[in-house]
Amino acid sequence: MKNEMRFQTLIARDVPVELDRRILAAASKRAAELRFRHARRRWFWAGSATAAAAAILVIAGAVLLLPEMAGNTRPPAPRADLLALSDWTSVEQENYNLSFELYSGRQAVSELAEAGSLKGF
Amino acid sequence: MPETELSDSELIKAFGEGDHAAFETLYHRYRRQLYGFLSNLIPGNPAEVDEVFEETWLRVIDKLPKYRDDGKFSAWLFRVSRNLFIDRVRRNRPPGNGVLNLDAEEAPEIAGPASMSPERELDSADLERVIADAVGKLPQEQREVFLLRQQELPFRDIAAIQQCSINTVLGRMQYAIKSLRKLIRAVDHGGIIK
Repeated sequence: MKNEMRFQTLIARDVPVELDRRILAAASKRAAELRFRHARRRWFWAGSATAAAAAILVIAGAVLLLPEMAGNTRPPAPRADLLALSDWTSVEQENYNLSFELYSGRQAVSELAEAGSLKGF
Repeated sequence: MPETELSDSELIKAFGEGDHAAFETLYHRYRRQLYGFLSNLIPGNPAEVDEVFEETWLRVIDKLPKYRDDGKFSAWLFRVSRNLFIDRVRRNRPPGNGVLNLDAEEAPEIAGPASMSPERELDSADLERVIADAVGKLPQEQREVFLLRQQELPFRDIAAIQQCSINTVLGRMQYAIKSLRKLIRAVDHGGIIK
């Protein structure tokens, strides 16, 4: 402060101890409030992140474990009797084939007979 | 890094996160300056000084977490204090022996202590007392500028506190010094001051 007057009595003064005590007590209380607010904000965001992760897992699980909902269909499990056919021996297979041919022949004759009766023979 | 070496901005940020020790450092940095300023702004009324001082810091504690620090915490602190003082004055609570005259440019005539004889040379203690009394009688705005400069605040900060231009602040300081120099010359030469 060049060329300006400075006077000791006008500069700093000692602050009464009681004033210091009250002001610092108020600051301590406010600091505690701010710490609580910060902690609460952290819990909120941590909780939100956990809830979001849980929701994603539930949706993913639903998509994977419930295929009808996702529009996928699996082929039906083969019936036991059809599976059993693949276990036939060659003799059983031949027998089946002959029976089938006999049945087919009878079916064909029956159809012809019907056709003949319908035509008025 | 010890907290005494942290800047005001760093201390304010730490307090905003709940660090009480950071506020304590900031408080100790400015409390004597502010108390000195108020003691001279409100001469002869220590109770009023204490009330304004405490109210200032309570207001700061409340607003500090939301305060957007631009490196001018001291200017903000003194502005809060000054505004609180002016509000009190406007609510018809006179500031002790001070004269509130916001618009005056020139200081009124200043009377010296009645016990002083013209021939008596002033010692430094007497001179300080006379000056303190004279400062108390300066127009409000000049008194503020003078007292804030006593606390070594730059003129730029004083302009921010008084919410006026730097030129206005410089003008007020010039008038304040002119009035006080007139007084010192008169007292020093042993004249009777009217």
